[in-house]
Amino acid sequence: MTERPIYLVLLADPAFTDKNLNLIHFAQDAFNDQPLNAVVVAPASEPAVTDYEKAGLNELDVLTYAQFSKAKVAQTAATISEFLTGQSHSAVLFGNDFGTTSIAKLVAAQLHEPLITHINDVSAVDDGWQLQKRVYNGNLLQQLTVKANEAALLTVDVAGVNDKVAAGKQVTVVKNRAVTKVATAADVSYEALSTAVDQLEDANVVVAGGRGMQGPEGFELLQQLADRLHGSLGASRVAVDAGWVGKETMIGMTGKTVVPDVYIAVGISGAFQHTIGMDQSKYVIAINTDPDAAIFKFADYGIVGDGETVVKQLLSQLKTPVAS
Amino acid sequence: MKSLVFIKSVRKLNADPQLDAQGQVNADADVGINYLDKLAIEAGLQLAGTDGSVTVASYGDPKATESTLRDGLAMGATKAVAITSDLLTDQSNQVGLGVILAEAAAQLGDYDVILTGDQAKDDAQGCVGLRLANALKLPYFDRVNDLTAADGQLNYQLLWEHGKLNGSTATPAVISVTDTINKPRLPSFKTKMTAKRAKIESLAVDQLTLMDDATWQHLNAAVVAQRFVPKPERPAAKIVNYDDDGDAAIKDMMAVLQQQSII
Ligand SMILES: Cc1cc2nc3c(=O)[nH]c(=O)nc-3n(C[C@H](O)[C@H](O)[C@H](O)COP(=O)(O)OP(=O)(O)OC[C@H]3O[C@@H](n4cnc5c(N)ncnc54)[C@H](O)[C@@H]3O)c2cc1C
Ligand SMILES: Nc1ncnc2c1ncn2[C@@H]1O[C@H](COP(=O)(O)O)[C@@H](O)[C@H]1O
Repeated sequence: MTERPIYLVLLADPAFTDKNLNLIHFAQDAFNDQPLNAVVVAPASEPAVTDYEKAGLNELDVLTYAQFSKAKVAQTAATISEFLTGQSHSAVLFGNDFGTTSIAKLVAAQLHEPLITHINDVSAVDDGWQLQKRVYNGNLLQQLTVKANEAALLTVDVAGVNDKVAAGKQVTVVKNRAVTKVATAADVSYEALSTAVDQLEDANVVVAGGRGMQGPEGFELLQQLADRLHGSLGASRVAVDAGWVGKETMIGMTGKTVVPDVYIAVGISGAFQHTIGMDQSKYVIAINTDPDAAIFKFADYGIVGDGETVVKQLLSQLKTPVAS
Repeated sequence: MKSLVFIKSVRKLNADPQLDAQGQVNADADVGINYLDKLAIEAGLQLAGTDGSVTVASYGDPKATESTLRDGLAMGATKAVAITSDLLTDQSNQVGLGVILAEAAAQLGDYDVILTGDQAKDDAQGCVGLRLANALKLPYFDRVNDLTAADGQLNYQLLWEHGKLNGSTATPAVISVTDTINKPRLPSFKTKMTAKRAKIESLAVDQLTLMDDATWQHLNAAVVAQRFVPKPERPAAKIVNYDDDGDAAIKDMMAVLQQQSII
């Protein structure tokens, strides 16, 4: 449809390789078989090349400089902007995580190109694409039409994409480009919240609790259930604020967005600030004493009952750990 | 410190959002300040100290803009400016809005910091702040959840993957605030009354001085249309009462977990 190539921007980070592969997969689906070029920014060309050369891309440009770090937002953005300035391009896709979005914004400003964030669907229309995203806390969808022969940057919500790319038939042309002139980086200090690799966002099963679990003991039960199901523990803001569980478990507007196969919400009322972080889950089970709780509107299966009792009985049914 | 805070009027959705034939949110809907923009005003008020000031400015439908600006004044802003412009010809393409606001900022002058919300609820773009900063050639920080002034510098903390980034910047700078930065104050009876009577200034942006025409065209070329559609309906849940038949409920749950290949 377009003469101009579509680009994907992949930032090297071992923790993000799967997300980058999901982004490639999303683009392959969305732009049905149009040639896709990707640009990787990395400290060194390995393992970037091995990670992506079999992903069915048309061309892979690897920009390398030793001091690359995603946290040096302005420096990374300047490197990408300079590269894209030299390449005719149509849509340019970025991931949707915090850091990548910040970088995408700076690139959009430097190139004077539009940026449409949080895209979760793309379909072809005359001379262009229709992009879709969630707005108003997930209560409406917004559709934007962009021309294929003009430049637009997109950040893509890959949380819902979990089929990684199959090894591509396409031959990837790899171009290694050492970046010699790197922009200066601002002086910032990074304060990690937790060093543990965070599993929650990628979990297949999330067992989440709220005020209805009534205390840390309730969350121990939920943790046991999560363990039995090889899942991760999540929580509402009320439970986090009460100190029953750690901050990193918070799901929702201020917390994480999860898209598991099964989401089990126990003692959570279903405030929109919470549901915006879980309403794309594939199957939702809600347990709540209040038959009118809003969470049931987001559920596929609901049990009106006491969270602790139901979870205890379920645990006794699941006596032996399940095989993974 | 003197802050210039850009605030947006957003339409409030009722339980069953009404969309018109063009796929736009019903123009009669109530409007209010975009929630994060209230936090931006609060941040400005906290930075103001005794000799500072907070100006609120907004672009949009005249009636909505006036009510939003009065809400901003009621929170304690000292001056309000309604921005108009003929340059945004297509209301469904707001890509260039940040540049228009930057022109307004350049005309207004007299600020140490420009504050915006991280993103507006109705388009979740989060692009206005960075365009402002880029057009005005100022440093930009988004997702800021702590902001203090010291010796003419701004110290900020922003949310970052699995952590936070701390740093400081010279002024002026553009800052977009996130929802954990503060709790916005409620207007008092007195400030509400003052806000009702206050004068709202108007400012027209009728030419571009910060960006040449070709660049402006490039910026506005790609996006051609925008509409809203209702979210897809979720089929009603199967709901059972545990006290009626607990064993059946647990059996159902086990079946679901098996169906979803979890166990
Ligand atoms: C700016 C802002 C951002 C926010 N961000 C987030 C966010 O990211 N994530 C988030 O979760 N919240 C967020 N919130 C808070 C949100 O509005 C809700 O207050 C919160 O999600 C409610 O948590 P909850 O469901 O645990 O508690 P509640 O609303 O108090 O609900 C408790 C539920 O438990 C049920 N219950 C009680 N006893 C039992 C029992 N024995 N067994 C089973 N059920 C029981 C009750 O019927 C009720 O439905 C935010 C709020 C604001 C203002
Ligand atoms: N029409 C407007 N008038 C004034 N400020 C705006 C307007 N639109 C957006 N903003 C500001 O830009 C921020 C981000 O908006 P957006 O880029 O639309 O998500 C908002 O939180 C406001 O602070």
